[in-house]
Amino acid sequence: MSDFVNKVVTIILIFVLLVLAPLLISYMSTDMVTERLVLNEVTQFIDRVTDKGEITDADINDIYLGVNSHGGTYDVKVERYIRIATEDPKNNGRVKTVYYNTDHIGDLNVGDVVKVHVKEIGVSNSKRLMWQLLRIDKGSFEFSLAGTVR
Amino acid sequence: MKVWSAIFNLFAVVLLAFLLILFYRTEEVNTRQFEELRLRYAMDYATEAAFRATIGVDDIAIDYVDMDGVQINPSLALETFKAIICLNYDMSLSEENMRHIENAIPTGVLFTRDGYYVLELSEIDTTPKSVAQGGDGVTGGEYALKWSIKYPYKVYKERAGKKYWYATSLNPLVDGRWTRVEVGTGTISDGKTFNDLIYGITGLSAKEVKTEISRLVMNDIAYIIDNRNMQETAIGKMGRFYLPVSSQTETTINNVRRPTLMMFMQGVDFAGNDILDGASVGGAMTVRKRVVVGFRDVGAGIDYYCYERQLTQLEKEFPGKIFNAIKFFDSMEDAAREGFEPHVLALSYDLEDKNVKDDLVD
Repeated sequence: MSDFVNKVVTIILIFVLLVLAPLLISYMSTDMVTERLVLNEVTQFIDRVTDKGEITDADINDIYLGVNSHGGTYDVKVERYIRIATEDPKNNGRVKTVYYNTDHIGDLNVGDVVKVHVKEIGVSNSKRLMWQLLRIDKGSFEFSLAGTVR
Repeated sequence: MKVWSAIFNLFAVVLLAFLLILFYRTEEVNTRQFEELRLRYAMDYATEAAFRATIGVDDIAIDYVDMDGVQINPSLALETFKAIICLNYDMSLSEENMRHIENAIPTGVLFTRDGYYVLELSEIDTTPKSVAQGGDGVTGGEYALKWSIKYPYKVYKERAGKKYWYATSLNPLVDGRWTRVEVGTGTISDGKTFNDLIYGITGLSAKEVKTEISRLVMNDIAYIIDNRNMQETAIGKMGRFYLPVSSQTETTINNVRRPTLMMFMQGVDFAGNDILDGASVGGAMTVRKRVVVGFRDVGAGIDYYCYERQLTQLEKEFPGKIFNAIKFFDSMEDAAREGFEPHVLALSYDLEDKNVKDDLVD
């Protein structure tokens, strides 16, 4: 009887070691590369639009396609903030500089901030496998990056 | 046979445990590397924005070489830096968040043509707090990061039996102006070209000047970091700031040759699970004049401000309305100080003709 149990355990262990573990590690390294490539796409976009001072439809399409062309599915939000200085009546009239989110994306002015927010909306293979095997959920991958117009 | 099978299984289980640990560590390192990379980008963007905020009178049509002559004012640099870091990490621009970011900035240096500013922890509330109020009876007890006064690039040199202190420029090869004071007599003299430095009058070489500037600034940074660590230790925190090796080279700090802003962040605890460090050097400039105009919306009776070109666009957009220009300002902050409100719609209009854009960015 114990010989039979031993055999079953052996088979399970072999399956885990030879199939699941390499699969998980391979998926994970793919995710790792994808995340870096997505970050790279976003910095390229920010550098480009802050340098030329405008966001065209082509730029927007470019970042949507760029970010989603590395294996994952992401939602991309591009925002423009303009710098505003106002007097703060609660603080002895001290001047406060704030950044105001505007809907007018297109032509940018020097000093404006372009912010890109990326959020993963699909589930990657490694995350799906992790959930199926270990019931571990890391949550969706997301980040923001913002740069000022030159 | 049974024993061998059990040994094999045991070995496999140990191997599996190793794999799990490896998996966990790889995941951790991956996340940390990603966040480090992101912090680096965020700091680069924030430093660049902060440096731009230092350029006074938004500016004159000057070319790259003339950049040394730009008026540089550090007052807005730190606020801008903190605001951009906030935006990069989806944090609101509240006082608390700004203060939290400030806690992770050990110091920063703004190099200008003829001197440098350093960020140091200074007392902002100078009203003495009594012991009963939790103070020491002497100081206000509230500190924040502030830019220092402008320190000159001073170099000591003995020549022909006399002792001199020289104030030189940041890059003596491009701008050779110097002023010197003779120790003892207080006699002041100056020179305009670097040739003077080489050929006889001073005996100083460019390398010597640059090395001396580097040593001077590095000593200041090290002193400030040391002080901050002492202050933190005094309130029960371990001294966590240090001088990053990457910020210096053999001859000078990152070979700074022109007006530049250098910012450090250490112990960043808002970028993911790990505590991260970073350093960034930014130098850039704009070559367009931007004047803020204060105007009155006659119909509404409200005083607004926007940039000059935007006012004409606003007039085109609302032909029936009357906007009277009242005053010109160097910056939005100046306009706000005089009671003008930001005209949000106008401020979102295009500021200039993109066809003539000719930024110079380092």
